[in-house]
Amino acid sequence: MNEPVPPMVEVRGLTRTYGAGSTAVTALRDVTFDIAPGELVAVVGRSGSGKTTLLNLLGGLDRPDSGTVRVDGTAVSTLDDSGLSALRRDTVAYVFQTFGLIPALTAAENVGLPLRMRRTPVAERERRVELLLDLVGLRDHARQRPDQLSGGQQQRVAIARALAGSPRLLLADEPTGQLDTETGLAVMSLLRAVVESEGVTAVVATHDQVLMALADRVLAISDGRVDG
Amino acid sequence: MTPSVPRPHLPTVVGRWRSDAAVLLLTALVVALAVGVTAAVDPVTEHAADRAIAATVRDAGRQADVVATLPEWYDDPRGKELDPSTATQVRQDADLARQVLPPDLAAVVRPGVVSVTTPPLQLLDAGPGRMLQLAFVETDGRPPAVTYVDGAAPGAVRPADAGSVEVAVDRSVAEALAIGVGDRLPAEDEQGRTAELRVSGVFTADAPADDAWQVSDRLLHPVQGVADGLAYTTGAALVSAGALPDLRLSLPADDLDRRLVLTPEPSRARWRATRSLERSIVSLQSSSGVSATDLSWDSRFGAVLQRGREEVAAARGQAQVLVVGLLGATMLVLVLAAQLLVRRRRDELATLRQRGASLGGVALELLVEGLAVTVLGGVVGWGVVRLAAGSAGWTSAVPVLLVAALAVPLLGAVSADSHGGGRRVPANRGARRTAERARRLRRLAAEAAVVAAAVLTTSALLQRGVTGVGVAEDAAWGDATAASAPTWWALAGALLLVHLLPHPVRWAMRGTRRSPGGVGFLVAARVAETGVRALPVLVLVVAVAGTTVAGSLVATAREGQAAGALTAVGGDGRIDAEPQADLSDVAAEAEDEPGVVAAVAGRVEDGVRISSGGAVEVVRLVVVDAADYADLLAAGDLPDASRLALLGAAGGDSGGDPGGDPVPALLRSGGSPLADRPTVRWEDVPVVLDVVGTAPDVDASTDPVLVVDASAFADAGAVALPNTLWLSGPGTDQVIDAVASRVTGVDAVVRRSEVVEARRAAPLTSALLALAVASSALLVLLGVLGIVLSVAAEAPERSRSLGRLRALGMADRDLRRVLLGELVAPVAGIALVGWSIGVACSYAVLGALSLDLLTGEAVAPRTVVPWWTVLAVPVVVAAALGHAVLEARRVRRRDLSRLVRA
Ligand SMILES: Nc1ncnc2c1ncn2[C@@H]1O[C@H](COP(=O)(O)OP(=O)(O)OP(=O)(O)O)[C@@H](O)[C@H]1O
Ligand SMILES: [Mg+2]
Repeated sequence: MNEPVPPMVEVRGLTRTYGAGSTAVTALRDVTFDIAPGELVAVVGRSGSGKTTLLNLLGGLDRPDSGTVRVDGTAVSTLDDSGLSALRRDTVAYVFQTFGLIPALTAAENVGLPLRMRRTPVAERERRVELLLDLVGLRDHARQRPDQLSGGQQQRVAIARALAGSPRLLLADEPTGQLDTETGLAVMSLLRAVVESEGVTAVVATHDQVLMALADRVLAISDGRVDG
Repeated sequence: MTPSVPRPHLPTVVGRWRSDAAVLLLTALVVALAVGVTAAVDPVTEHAADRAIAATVRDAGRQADVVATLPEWYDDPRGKELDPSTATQVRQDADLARQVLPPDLAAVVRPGVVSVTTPPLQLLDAGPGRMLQLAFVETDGRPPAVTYVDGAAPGAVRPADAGSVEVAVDRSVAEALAIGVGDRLPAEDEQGRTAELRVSGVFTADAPADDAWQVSDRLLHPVQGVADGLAYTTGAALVSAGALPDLRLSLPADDLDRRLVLTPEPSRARWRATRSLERSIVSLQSSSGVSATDLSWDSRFGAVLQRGREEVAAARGQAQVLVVGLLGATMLVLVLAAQLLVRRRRDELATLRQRGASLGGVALELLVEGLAVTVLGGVVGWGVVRLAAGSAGWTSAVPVLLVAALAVPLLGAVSADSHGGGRRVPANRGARRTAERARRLRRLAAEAAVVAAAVLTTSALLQRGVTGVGVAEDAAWGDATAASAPTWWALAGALLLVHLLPHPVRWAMRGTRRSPGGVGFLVAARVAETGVRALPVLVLVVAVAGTTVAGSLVATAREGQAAGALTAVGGDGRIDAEPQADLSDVAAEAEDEPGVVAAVAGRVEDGVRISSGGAVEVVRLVVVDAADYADLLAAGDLPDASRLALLGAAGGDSGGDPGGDPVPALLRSGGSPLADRPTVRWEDVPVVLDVVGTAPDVDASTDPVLVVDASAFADAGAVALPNTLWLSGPGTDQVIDAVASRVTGVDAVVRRSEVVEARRAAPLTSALLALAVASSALLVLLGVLGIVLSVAAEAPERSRSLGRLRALGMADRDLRRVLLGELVAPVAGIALVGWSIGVACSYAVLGALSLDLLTGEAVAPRTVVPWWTVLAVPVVVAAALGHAVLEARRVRRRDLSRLVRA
């Protein structure tokens, strides 16, 4: 396939080894792939196959031993600490398996956090938060705190928060890992929907074969290698 | 089935020790500090108490003497004969008296002075008004050491001269009475019984400070004066053992007063022995016979000791207030450390429990460790004090030791119980609510108990103070109830703070919610989430409040000492001299000296009797220029200056009194209030007074004070020459000696600065102030430890939260600001509240601590809370800040990819 548009994610020869000597574990081996803008890619593989490692490297939470990662044209692996936090603030957003909400803040406040970090004007922030909560169907739960929400609701808040800063790339590591199948499916369809409506690119790591059906493309990892 | 006998598993215990070494060491260190301090308090207070009792006894001087009046000699009515063994008889009678001394009393007194004295005998050879008292004096069988400048020691007269007595006099007495060696002086007693005195020698005393000379002041210092318009001179003469039989023969037995005076040796009076000494003295006095032929005892030594003992009791009570605060904070810090340990081991303990270990087994394992740490810390702290001070107490550290040993096992068992599946959170919502309600009730009951303790201990403090009246003195720590009042209040205040703190945090959140940035808002949110844990708040509040109370105690005592010295001196300096008219001129000149603001001369006369109706009172009469004296008081910040204006206004109503208009006077009355027209006799001139107000406390008098204006007094016909010059002003210390050189017959030059120094150097005061300084430093240290421990306990959770923010793209700088804010802001707020509680406690409590016993004031000193007590706040804030900086570095280094996995 040859497309004129440059890829959103460009991974070349990515290798990541944990530890050294006899206990060294190579989590990723010479991985190369591209992801086009607007794609929803599912990364699947067994436990320990290297999914989380890959997502961390894409999001700049971790540095590779060799190889390069480009996100929206930026070479992630060459960024310094402040460049990485700018990348996380402006380009890449994370959705954690454990939701990662701040317990002391309400749903709306959690969603507003990325906007606060960019010092978005208050009125604009509030408008966007309202819009996003609408989008994830939690309009009526805006003032509830995480411990007053169900797991699925929390993950939807987390997705809304990830989208708040209008990222180019959304990374989700087993976003449905802590949810039952049905809720997981609902969250996944939500992701599918927002990817379309917000026009972001999404990379979702998952165990779940069923959820893969919703993806544009599936990247299967086994033993640190991407096949197909 | 698991075996029911719990057996600690050594490798587990050792492994745990290794991973928690820092916290365990810290616990041991805190135990060592607490044990060290409490161990030192006992020997130090005991030492200070001994020195204080010694100082009291020394200051009491002859008041502390124990005096035995030996049985009166019996004169055979058929006539007396010369008895050569007279001196031996006196010595034997004195020995008999010594034998009835209770052993503890015998141990603290010097060998004693045996004396036989006569009343002053009228000398009949020349002119009236010449008196000579005779005294036989011996210490340890030896007369006082003298050097004869003329003649020789008295001896026995020849039988032909029976009825005469040889005596020797000091040179000053010889000069005052104009007598010399070889003079034969006919003399008679008050009943007209005569004897002839022969002067055998004139001497000078080798050691005028020798106890022996105290038998009669006039032996070395003849007194000259005017009584009822007649001049008189009184001296005393020494009689030797050889001349004593002649004295016995010459004068009747009722003229011969035989005594044994035992002077306590100040350094031998031990504080612990005071109670039993007082009892011994009481029993000795009650054993006195009723007739003159019995041995009788008299002493105010018991009262002196009692005063000293009360001062010591007050100081110990004050020390106890500080120590209780210190121990309270220490125990809280230990519980905090235990909490941290248990939290770190929560999973491990839960696993133990799930594997079937009994709660007892879990607790026992932890107890082994707790005991080891406690014993280690205790032995180190105790041993250091033991080595340094020679002795060490340990009883007051018992609560600390118990907490140190038991906190981890108890908290650990609770943790294992609730997390190890022993007890599950009820699934049923109703049951959960019941459990929650029970938990809240328990907490409420605990809080109510703290408030009740605060109220009860305070009422105990206000009722009986900290002097431990009615408490067994021998009990090492007496009764800590009253002394714990400030600590309880600090605890109660801290609990209130725990309840109130969420409100300002919520306000802060509300205030920052509508801001574009995230730092302030996140700080408030984070504090709301973690900042209001009870125990750290308690530690910090108790530590800072305790520091503040200790600092205020130091400042109040020091200021009180300065104020007390000011009242005692009456200005910045005072010159006591013999009465002279010139003193007023010297005062006028002194006012021109550099640095002197006011100088006033006046007459201060003690023991003046004023009568009104049938009542007579002995007062200190102060005759002074009222306007000038008012200036002096005003210049020196002394109170009561304004009232002196009342003296200027000439006598109230002219009621046709025989002495003319009554003289307006100010009276500071001790006990019985005198009626409105008292009369004072001044050199035989009766002066009628009109009491128009309350007198200032001139020079800290123990008697009532009567102040009159000099010119009004003179108008009434009574001239009082000034004998006292007061100076006030910053330059007083420099010029007072020069001023004194212009005064004749100076008795004393008193500088206020020296009086203050002396009071501050007094053993009890200096020991208490040292303890206050040490305990405030230790309390700050405990506050810092409390912060470090509670911050460390929350660190993993905080690192997770901050990691999330970092993953959301928060810049490092903002992250650091959030961290600083969430750590520093609550500490600053809580510490400030702790300081306020300390200030309130100081004002509420210091007045009840009998600090006046330290400052020498008549009333409790004004409470002073120095501004620098607030410095405890920046110190603990700096500790939080330091920790925050370290933690920020750690958070930045933390691998974010791990965070995602957590
Ligand atoms: N910090 C680390 N140190 C050492 N080895 C690690 C570390 N993190 C991951 N690994 C190893 O790298 C390999 C890949 O781990 P990774 O977490 O990426 O797998 P995963 O596909 O996300 O698994 P799962 O589906 O269980 O989340 C594993 O073998 C793991 O043991
Ligand atoms: Mg994973």
